[in-house]
Formats: sequence, structure tokens, C-alpha cells
Amino acid sequence: MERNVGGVERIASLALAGLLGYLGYRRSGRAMRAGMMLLGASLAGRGATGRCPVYRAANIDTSTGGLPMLGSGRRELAVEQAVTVNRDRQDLYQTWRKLEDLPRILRHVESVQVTDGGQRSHWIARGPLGATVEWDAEISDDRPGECIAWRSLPGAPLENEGFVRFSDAPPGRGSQVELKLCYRAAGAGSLGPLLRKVSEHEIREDLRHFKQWMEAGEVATTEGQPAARRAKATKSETEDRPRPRGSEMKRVRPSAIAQATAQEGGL
Amino acid sequence: MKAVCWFGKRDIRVEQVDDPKILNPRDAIVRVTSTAICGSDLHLYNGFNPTMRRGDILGHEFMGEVVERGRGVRNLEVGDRVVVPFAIACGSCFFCKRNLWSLCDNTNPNAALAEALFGHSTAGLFGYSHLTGGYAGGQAEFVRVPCADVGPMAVPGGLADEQVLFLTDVLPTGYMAAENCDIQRGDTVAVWGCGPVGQFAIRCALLLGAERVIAIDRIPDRLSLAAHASSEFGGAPVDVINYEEQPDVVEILKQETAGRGPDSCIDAVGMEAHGTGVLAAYDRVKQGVRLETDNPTVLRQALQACRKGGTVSVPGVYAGFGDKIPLGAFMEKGITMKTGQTHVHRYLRPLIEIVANGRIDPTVIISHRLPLADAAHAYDIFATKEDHCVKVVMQP
Repeated sequence: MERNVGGVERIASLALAGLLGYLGYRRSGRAMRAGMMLLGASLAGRGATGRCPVYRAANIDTSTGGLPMLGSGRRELAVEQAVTVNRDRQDLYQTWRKLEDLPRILRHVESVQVTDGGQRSHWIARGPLGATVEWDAEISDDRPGECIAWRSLPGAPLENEGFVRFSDAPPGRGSQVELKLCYRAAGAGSLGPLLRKVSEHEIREDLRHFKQWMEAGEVATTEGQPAARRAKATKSETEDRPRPRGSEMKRVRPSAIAQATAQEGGL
Repeated sequence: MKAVCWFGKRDIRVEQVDDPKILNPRDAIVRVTSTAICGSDLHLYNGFNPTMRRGDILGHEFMGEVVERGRGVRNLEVGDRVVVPFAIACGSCFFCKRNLWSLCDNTNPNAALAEALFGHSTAGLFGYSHLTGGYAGGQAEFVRVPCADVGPMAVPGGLADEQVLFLTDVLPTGYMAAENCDIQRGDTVAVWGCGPVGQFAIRCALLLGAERVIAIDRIPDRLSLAAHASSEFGGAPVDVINYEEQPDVVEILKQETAGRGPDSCIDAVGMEAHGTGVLAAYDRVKQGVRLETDNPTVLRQALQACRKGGTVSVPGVYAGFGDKIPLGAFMEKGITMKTGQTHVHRYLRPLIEIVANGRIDPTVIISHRLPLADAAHAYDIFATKEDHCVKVVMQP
């Protein structure tokens, strides 16, 4: 097994192991005592060797620096999703080609400023804790009604590329939209800010909202409707906030498209 | 405003909540004049849906007056009196374009949750748990109606609320159940469940030309109401089976049809079937410990009873998993099964004609008229079927 626990965390593990061992030793209940000493022993092993089987199972690696965060040891994020939209692919292409409006589809992108006659652009992405990352990008392929591809320019802290491809679905089924995004941490850059926002689940929601927008002209929402809940559903339900992991019951945050629909209407 | 809110298993309260607002351009706000409790609301009431949250506003059968409309709604005027289909449909996706409105792609904000359970998400529904979108329902003084340019239908002043209210769900649901049977001349149709949907399924089966209907339930009032359909349709034969007195329903149906079995079987009961015998006890235990969500007693009987090559039509709601469904009977007898949430939009116009012509009188099923403030009592008597309760209509 590869080393997957970072230096600071190894020291913390050893310290905690010592504490648990001491407390367990002083404990009178036999089961509690055995449990605490066992936990202490496993922490000691983790601290001494820098290898943690739990991290390995969860695909976590903190040995390469950064905060001990789920997946933060990863150096690359690649997501691919597709959706069928009951519209002509030319219409779908037109919407995607306005790069400055992309933040309305891709929620992890905060803004895109187009320069250089539409060929180059400056991107800002924002993570759930407010951390931002910026880069310059260029259009690498552009075929009206078929595809758009873009990639970051050299020097970006996050090397990245993406493409969106439009094709006819079988007769009567509209068009297929395939999106691929890839982010790589370069040098000291970290994927941290994007971890929660660029996942298969989030990108699927982005494409679902895009489909709703293109087909229904608005994004389905219940944000702001009445309910008899003690805590008033004002601030917490409308603001961008990290969603508790694994809680499917929490409503998916409406994309910026949804907000645009409600406010002004029109991509 | 006042609204009927869900607070837990058999815990319904009428609470003061904020008035609804327009949230999307295609929304309208409707001041509710009449609303009903649906049999499917009882699944929520009885705690069968884990995606309810405390404080959710219930109700998907409602009608009223348009008091506000978003800028995307041009077909309705403020002041229009409308009935509103229980499913919310966008009108422009693949499914809406094919008249499959309850399968709309675009109206469930919690689509990911439904996809996890069903593989795909279906339409958002009013007041019917977060699995179907978490929309606030219409058992309230006011309700927000999304996609109001597609769903609501204006109704003429000549028809009373009680005549048109059931166009929102149970009348079209009974109609679609009968239509799904593809009734041919000479057909016998068996209908399990004589609640509101079953009552309308019986009447619609006769309307669509069934030779004979056999209705199955255990509540004497409901069986008499079923038998009453005969006089509403010129003496057409409607027979009833009380399964508490005659538990071997499959055998009786076979005898009643001289060995053929009913040509079509309608399951207007769904996942909370009662039943007798060993299998029913097995289902109660498994449901109790959550190893089975749906009790398929009726589905089992219908598949077993149905004639070879016949149709089993399922308007009753199932939401999860059921055991010991006789797939052998289904396959070997070449049965067609048709089901789904009702595509109400498709039936509004034809059915309002049928009501206006007096061919079906929807008011026959109403047993109670109560103020909205009495909702907790209304749910209780509907769930326990006390006080001869068949259908409750409430006025805010």
C-alpha cells in the first residue's frame, strides 16, 4: 500500500493514539477500555507508517500536501455527461457559444470574460468555501451546430479543457448534448475549489437545468414556496451554500439559469 | 394563509403559512375554492413515503380562481375559474408532445432522487412528497401553479365546483383505467377497490361499452355505491363481491364468468391493499419491518383471475417493491399490463363534456363536505372509512 497520510496528520494520529491509549488504560469498563486501546493502536500504526487502509478505501490521499479533504490528493478531475434535449442542435449550439453566459449552465464557473474577438476568454471558478481560481482559455475547436472545445492557456494553475458536442438523436427525439470537462492541478495548484462542484452528479444537474431551460423555458423550482417549518426558509434556502454530503433530501440548488429565469428571463 | 400540513404519520395540522408567490414566469397563483382528499394522500398520511418533510403542504385535487399570473401565462386571465391537473407538465418535452403528461421530463426539481429510485424521473406532482418535486399542495387557501399556461383549464360558470373538481384527478384516473382495458363488445371488467377511483372506473368501463362490471371491496357502503352504477347506466349488470365474506375472489370471478375469467382487471387499490389469508399476513409483516414497501395483494389476484390474453390495468399507486407477484401467470397467459400516473391534461376536455352532458355525475361519490379547518378529522375518517366516508370535499 502506498503512503497516503500527510506529515502533520501522521503526527496528530500519533498524539491521539497516545491519548486514547492512556484514557483507555485508565477506563474501568472492559469493553470501552478494549475499544479505545484498539482504536489507539490503529491510529498509532497509521501515524508511524503513513499508510491508512480507510483512506485507501475512500480514495483519500493527504500525503501530497493540502488540507485533509476528501479526494484532495487527486490531481485530475474528469467528468463526462450527456443529455437529450427536444430542440434543434443549432439552437443548443447558439446557447453554449455565448461563453460569457456559461456560468448560467455550469454552476462551478463564476464568470467568463470573452476577449480577442471571441477566441480567448478569462475564467473564474469559485468553490463552496469562497476560494477562487482563475485562468485564461482559448477556443480550440468550433463547428457551428456540432461542437465547441476550449482549453486553458499555458500558465494556468488549473490546466483544463472541455468540449460540448451536439448531434441529432434518433428521429423525433431531439438532439444529444455530450459534455466533457477535465481539470488538472498544475504545479502548486489544487483542485480543492472544484471538488464538490465538478462531479458527475453536479454536472448532470447542470445539464438537466440546461434541458429544462431549452425545453420548458424555465427551470423547475420550489425555492421560496410556503411550508409550515419553524426555521423560516429564507436565507438558507436561496443562498449558495455547500450541500451536506449524502443528503439527497436537500433540494438541488437551482442553477444560475434558474435564477436568471426568475429575474430577467433570457440567456 | 391557512394550509393543511403534514407533520408525520397520521399527524395532519392546519397551519398558518406564508402566501405563495410567483417563482417562475409560467406560474399562476390560484385562490382555492374547493379541494379534496385523494386516496393516494392516505399513503402519505399513513407514513408510507419517506420523502415527506414536516410542514409540507398536502393536496393535489383542487380548483379555484386565478388571482395572479406570471408573464409567461397568456392563456388565462385573472378571475378565471380553473381546474388544475395533479401532475405538472411543461408541454414541450418528448413526453408532453406525445400526450404522456404525467411523464414530463422537466417539472421535478428533485429529479435526481426519483432517478435513483425509478431509473428516470416523472413529472412533478402537487403536494405529493419530495420524490415528486416537493411542490406545495392545494389543500390551502392559495396555491402556486407552475406551467399554468399548459395545465389549468377554465371551466364555465354553469358547472358547480363539485361537478368539475374531480377532473383534477380521480375522474380522469378512473377513465384512463377503463380506457387502458381496451374494452371490446362483450367484455367483463373486474374492478378491485370501490373508493373514488374504483367508482369512476366502474362508470367509465360502462361508458366505454363493458358488458358487465364486477366490483370487489369489503366496505358495504362502497359496494352499494358500486352497484348503484347499474341504475346510472340503464340497468347494465354490475355485481359486487365482498371479499371479507367471500375471500376466494379469484375462484368466484372464474365461476361468475363460466371459467373464462374477466377480460380486464382494474387494480384501483395499490400498495396499501388489505387482504386475507397467509400471503396478506406475510405482506403485513414485511411492510412492518420495511422489507417490502408495497403490498401487491390485488395485483396478485388480478393476474391470477384475468382471462388469457386479457388486460390488467393499474391506476392504484405503487411506489417501491412488492413480493410474490405471479410473473408466471402474467407471462404464460400473455397478459398486457397498463399503468402509470394519469395523463390528466389529455382527458380534461373530453371529460368535462361528459360531465356537462350528464352522462357521469361525479358528485355521487361525495360523502362529506367540510371546512378546510377540519382537515385532521377529514383525513382520519377517510383513512378509517368511518362515518361512511367515501370522499371528502373541503372548502377553505
